[in-house]
Amino acid sequence: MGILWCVAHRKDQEGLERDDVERELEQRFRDAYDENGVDRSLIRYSLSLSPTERVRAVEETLNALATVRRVTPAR
Amino acid sequence: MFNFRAVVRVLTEHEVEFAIVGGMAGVLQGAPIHTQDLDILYSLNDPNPTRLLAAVQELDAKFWGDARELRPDLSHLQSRGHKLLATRYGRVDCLATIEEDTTFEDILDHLDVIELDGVNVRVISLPRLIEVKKQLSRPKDQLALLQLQATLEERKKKLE
Repeated sequence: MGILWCVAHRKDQEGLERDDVERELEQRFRDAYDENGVDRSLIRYSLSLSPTERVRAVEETLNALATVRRVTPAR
Repeated sequence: MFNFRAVVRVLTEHEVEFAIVGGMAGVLQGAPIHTQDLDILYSLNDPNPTRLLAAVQELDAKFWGDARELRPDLSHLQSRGHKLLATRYGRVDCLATIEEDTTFEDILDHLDVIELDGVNVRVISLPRLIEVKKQLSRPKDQLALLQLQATLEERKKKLE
């Protein structure tokens, strides 16, 4: 009986913890995106960078893509 | 090799009167959008086209996608049409007008000065860029519009 109670209690605890995690993730998701699906957290991150850092990030992405195109044989 | 900061540096060294408009303006104003070119709106008033010609020559510019690898000359840069150029540092679109017929002089009151890699550069303001994008109906412009509007809201929140 005692063992059964322990197993049931542990399952309840895991369930509660899982619910907490789910709730937290849901809340984070709601905070990140607005009603249009725009990722506000990404905008806030972008605004934390300097203009030079933002432009450099665009350049680095384009240069990385150009490298991939160069090393990938045409199909 | 993409290096839009180098393009801006060359244009500035040649004292070209220009402003960054389009997607890169959005990036400079804080929006996390992706763009593959640099759009500049330049003054058609003399001697600006001559200065721009010297700058694009230094950038080894050719018309984008032109099999003959035609290079822009002064008459091209004095015209009001869009000049889409491939340079050693990436694609640069040189625009004499935006929207229906808005010139560089028309938007002087709607430009911000932003420091880019130690160079002060004029960039279309975020509210004015939003106005420009509202007039475009392409899906990519509509997507960018949502990002730009959200960026403007987040910037206002930051100031509160």
